[in-house]
Amino acid sequence: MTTEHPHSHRQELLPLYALRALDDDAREEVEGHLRSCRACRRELAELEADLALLAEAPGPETPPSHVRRDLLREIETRTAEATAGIQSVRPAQVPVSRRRNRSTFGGRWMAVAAALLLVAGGLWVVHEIFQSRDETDVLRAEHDRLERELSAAQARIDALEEQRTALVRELHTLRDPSGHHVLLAGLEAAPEASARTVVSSTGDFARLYAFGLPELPEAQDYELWLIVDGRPVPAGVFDVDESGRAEIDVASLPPLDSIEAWAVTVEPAGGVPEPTGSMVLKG
Amino acid sequence: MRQVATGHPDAFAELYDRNAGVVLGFLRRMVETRDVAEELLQETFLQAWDQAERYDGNRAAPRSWLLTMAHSRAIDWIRSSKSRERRNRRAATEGVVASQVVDRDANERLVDRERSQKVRQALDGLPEEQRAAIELAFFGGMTHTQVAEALHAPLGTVKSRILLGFKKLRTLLGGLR
Repeated sequence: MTTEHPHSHRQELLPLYALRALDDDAREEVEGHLRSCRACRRELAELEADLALLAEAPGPETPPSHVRRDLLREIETRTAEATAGIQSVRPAQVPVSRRRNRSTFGGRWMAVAAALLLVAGGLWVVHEIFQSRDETDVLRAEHDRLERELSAAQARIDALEEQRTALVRELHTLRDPSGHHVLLAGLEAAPEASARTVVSSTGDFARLYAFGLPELPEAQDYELWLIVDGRPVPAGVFDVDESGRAEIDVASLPPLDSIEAWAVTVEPAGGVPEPTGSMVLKG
Repeated sequence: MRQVATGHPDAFAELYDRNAGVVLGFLRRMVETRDVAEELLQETFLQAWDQAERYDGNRAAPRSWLLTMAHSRAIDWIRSSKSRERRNRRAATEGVVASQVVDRDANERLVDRERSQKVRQALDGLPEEQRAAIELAFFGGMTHTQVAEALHAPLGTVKSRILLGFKKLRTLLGGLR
């Protein structure tokens, strides 16, 4: 379940996720969280920018000119195929250099073999051995590529499956007549704003839908708080889209009767453990 | 990038000329052998051509986007055991072949070199144990478990070294972003 860990825990996993250093379970957990948490998506983009800078540490190396030539030829072929409406039937993805080698060496061996055949038929066998080695290399490359594509496709299927589960859960929550709803009203700082929280019938999961909130500068985020025993408990950081909307999931919800109120404040980007900024929504 | 997305080979060539050197330098660092790095370089740019429509300029600069794709491809390569076997076999037989240098814009190269030097200085500014953990994970394509094994350190320690290292790096890299 992805509801076991708070937002902050997943946020801590983000650098490892960006590094692709997590194991599958943790990676899936983070991916599930990313789909519903805009603040974490933004942080991930920042981390990727950090890593891209780090990738510049080794310094540039000039590629051999044939790489550029082959690439341009390849995209020209792809463009021509696309224009002609031909589905590119796959030599395309085999790296150009490997195919280049194959044709050069294959062709050379073919010529040698033809000559040798005339001179001594026995040597033909030698040619066959080399030829098949060359073919094996190409087939292995193709096999590796297909394996990579397969695992990428599997990852996409897993992600979609998780997304589907989340959507079904959301649908059930929204349809559940016994579900608990709380309305939040915009305060002086954002009189146009409003929000609604929908709590699942199991009581451990809630989603907040906010509307009409003004967009914030880069350095600020909205933070959701649950007031429990008179104390604010941080429940997630978010920002809004251009139309002032946001959705935020709250997992591991405390018992409903212990929640005295829901509130949203404006805080420094990334959120804070105790509220410091002005309150924009309460209910 | 918009022109690349609409299928302009000239725009693609420019994207290549501006970034291929940096991407290749990075790939060489990750996969070591020249022919594999060049293959991954080609694959990265073909992926860029195929997926240019999905490029989001608000999210990343073109170079960041390319380097992120190159990173993924290199990790896939490193983690595929068959590839590793082959990589080793090739490494053993690979001779020194001078690459054909086509220096399109010496000034641009110089700027890239200066940037890389600054990034290395930032990395050097990290405490040794944080730098080692981040470099093994990033350039070595290791999972956090593998990094922990390589450094003979507990998993939790490695995680926090990476986290702390990242926080500090962002400050150190600040001027370059």
